[in-house]
Amino acid sequence: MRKTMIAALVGMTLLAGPAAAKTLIWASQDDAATMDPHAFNHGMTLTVLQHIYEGLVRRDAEMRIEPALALSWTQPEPTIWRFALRPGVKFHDGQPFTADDVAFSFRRAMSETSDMKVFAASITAVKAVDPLTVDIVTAFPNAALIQSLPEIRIMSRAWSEQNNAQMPADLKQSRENYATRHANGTGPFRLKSRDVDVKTVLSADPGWWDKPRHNITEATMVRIAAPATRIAALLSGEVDFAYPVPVQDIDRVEKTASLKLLQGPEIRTMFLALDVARDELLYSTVKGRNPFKDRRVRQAMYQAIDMAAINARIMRGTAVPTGNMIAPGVNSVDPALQPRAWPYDVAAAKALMAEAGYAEGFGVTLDCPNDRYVNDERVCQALAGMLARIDIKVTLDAMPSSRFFPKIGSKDTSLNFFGYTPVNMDAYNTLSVMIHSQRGDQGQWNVGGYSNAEVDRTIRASLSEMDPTRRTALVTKALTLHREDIGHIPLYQQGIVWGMKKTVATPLQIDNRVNLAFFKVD
Amino acid sequence: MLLYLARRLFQAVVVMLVVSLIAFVLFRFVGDPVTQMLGQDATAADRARVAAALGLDQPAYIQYLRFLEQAAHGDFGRSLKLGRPVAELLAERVPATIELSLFAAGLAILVGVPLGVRTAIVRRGLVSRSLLTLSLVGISLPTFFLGVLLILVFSVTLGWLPSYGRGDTVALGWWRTGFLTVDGWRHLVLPGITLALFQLALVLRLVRAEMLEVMRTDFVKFARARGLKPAAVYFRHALRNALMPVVTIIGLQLGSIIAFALITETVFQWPGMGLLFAQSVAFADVPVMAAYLCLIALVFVTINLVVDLAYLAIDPRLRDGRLTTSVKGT
Repeated sequence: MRKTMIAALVGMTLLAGPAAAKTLIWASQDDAATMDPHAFNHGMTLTVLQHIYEGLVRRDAEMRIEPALALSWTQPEPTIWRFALRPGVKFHDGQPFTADDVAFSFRRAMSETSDMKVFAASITAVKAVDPLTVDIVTAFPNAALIQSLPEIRIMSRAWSEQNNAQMPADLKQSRENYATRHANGTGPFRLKSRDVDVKTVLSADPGWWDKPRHNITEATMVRIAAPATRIAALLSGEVDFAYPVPVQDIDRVEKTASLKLLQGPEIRTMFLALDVARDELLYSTVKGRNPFKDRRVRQAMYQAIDMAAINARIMRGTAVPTGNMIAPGVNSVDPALQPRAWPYDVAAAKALMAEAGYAEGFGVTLDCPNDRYVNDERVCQALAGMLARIDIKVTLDAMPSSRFFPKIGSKDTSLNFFGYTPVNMDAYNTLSVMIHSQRGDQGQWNVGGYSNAEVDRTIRASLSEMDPTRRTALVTKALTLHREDIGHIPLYQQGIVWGMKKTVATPLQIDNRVNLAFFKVD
Repeated sequence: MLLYLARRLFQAVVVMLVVSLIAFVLFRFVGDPVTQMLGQDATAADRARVAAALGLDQPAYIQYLRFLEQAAHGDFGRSLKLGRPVAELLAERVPATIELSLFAAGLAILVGVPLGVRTAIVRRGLVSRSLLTLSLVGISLPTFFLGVLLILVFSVTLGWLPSYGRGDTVALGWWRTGFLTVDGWRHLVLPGITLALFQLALVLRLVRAEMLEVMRTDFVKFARARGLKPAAVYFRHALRNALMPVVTIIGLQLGSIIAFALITETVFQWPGMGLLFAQSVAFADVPVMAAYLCLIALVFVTINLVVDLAYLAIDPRLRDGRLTTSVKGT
């Protein structure tokens, strides 16, 4: 009798085999700083939280906008967007999702202590029309509104109020609240446990409203900051997935039979920013004038840079050379702008330098972060060597990003190596932050002081242009004018390298955010 | 005796003040936490508001005095990255560092002392010579290199031991221990060896040198002449006398084990205080960095103070107040 029972139990276990638990351990360089979806605009934090919390819309594996908590939307007036909400959705604690939660979450995301305000900048009000309808009112017609909505994640009003977490805990005043270490969203995964900076466990939510594309039952995210250790853990099979893979370890991972790599360009564009505003450079041997104000000098530098060599030798082919300030794939960007505008040609560059009156060259300091981008310091060394060929003697000042960003942010720089990702995947973000003249909230990171009135006008016009074709034309016009001016010297799109076991399948995400919802594990 | 005590305590306080000042000054140059906290999309007004909220707009000496006042109450502020009290963060990380350090110290003593004795007794053998050569390697090999090497051999190639983290832990009150699980011990092996090797080599060489010295003394010769067995001579007489300075040095080294755990913890992603510090540097998380430095200084100062007090207990001349500067030459 007992034997039969055991046999039956064993049989049941075997039968249950194919549908058995699929677990995944993924190692990342960084950890989320908080579980509060509105407290910190930080890549890894948003990467982890996108599994737990959802927005009205979300991005599919190809980064296209698709419905999530909203089923559909209309625009009754240029400044009013009406969203029909998905019925029958429940938060992880079992409470139903309603328009009230949406209005509450937008208010929360737009409050003083929120770090996600930037995504809701144009919004003036969010009103619950009925339990399944919401109106979003903007101050002006905003063509990029939908692009920002995936980042505004919806929390439960009841849960937030019960736990006294109505406002985001202000990290800037070093506060935390219940939502900092607990989570209750509508997303495909629940937060099972969290040990800050050590491991975070997510378990698939069986009650999720969508049919899962993934087959994971439980995923553990561990932080392994040291690159060598992270790759060792992947090679030894202790983790199933690791990112980023340092470019020097690419061969090693590729040669391991049980592992594979996914590589592709990230939407982050790297470039050189030059001080084109001051009458005399802060860090240069040239006194009384600013050589970077001469377009010929900028073009000479452009043509002295051998992007193919940098890509081959330093990035091992993972980067994509570019002539555009915004990557293709970003909303309203024409991929035809990608090729570099002028070819690598040292002779032509030297001629331009001579023509501009700098045949003897000059000295200048290049500011460069050494812990922020893939092989950042080595790229800067290579750039220094290439510029030396046209007699621009570069003094390299490499520093940690905690020093670099304040330095260049206060415009205390003549030449720097820098990169930018449009946070809401929309061209206007880069144009406004990086290329528009510094005025008010515009041009926050236009550290070289590039300014062209026509470019500014075109950028502002693109913001409210609702017609996609006309909007792309405006963005192309602004980018083309800037390219002709050589306001910056675009270099390349940084590469993403993810390493994983062959049993793991996922599409590569160009925003470099791992999304378990797209994972299949054998 | 009171004067001696007061003087030592005064010195300890001065050292702590100097360390806190250095920590405070140094960290003003590591970078601006405000930019790290706000990211790329914040406005100048946002930045100014945050700087004011953190007190970063005050003059440096006011910031320092405020820092000292709060530190005296055990309050090192809150982490800029995680928004939690630094004292709480450090308390969470202390068990990992202490357990790793104790394991490494234990390993260094349990292996280093017998090998030291062995190399002292059999001075010319092949084994002794290889051990001495190896100990030289142990002293000169950089910790991070040794750690990566061990990971490569035992985790990647052989697949015997895990390469990162602490494994399963058990909570005993607020103290999370890895000593009570098999997984915890497996995770302890590689970082433990990495941290211990330098100390092991040091103990080995120290024990050997002291043993050789003691074995030349008259009382060992007489012990031999009395016809005692070699084992009794070596271990009961020679080793006991050789151990006095060894114990002192090991005590003092405990501080540096805890401090140097930083590198080992970084290589093995060991969730201790050192790793917390290393990760805080990248974020310019000044409160965490300052608290860590002060804590490490406190560990060193306390150990030194205890050693001084131990001398006081051992040496009666100190108690009489006759000799207050040097305890050497006894």
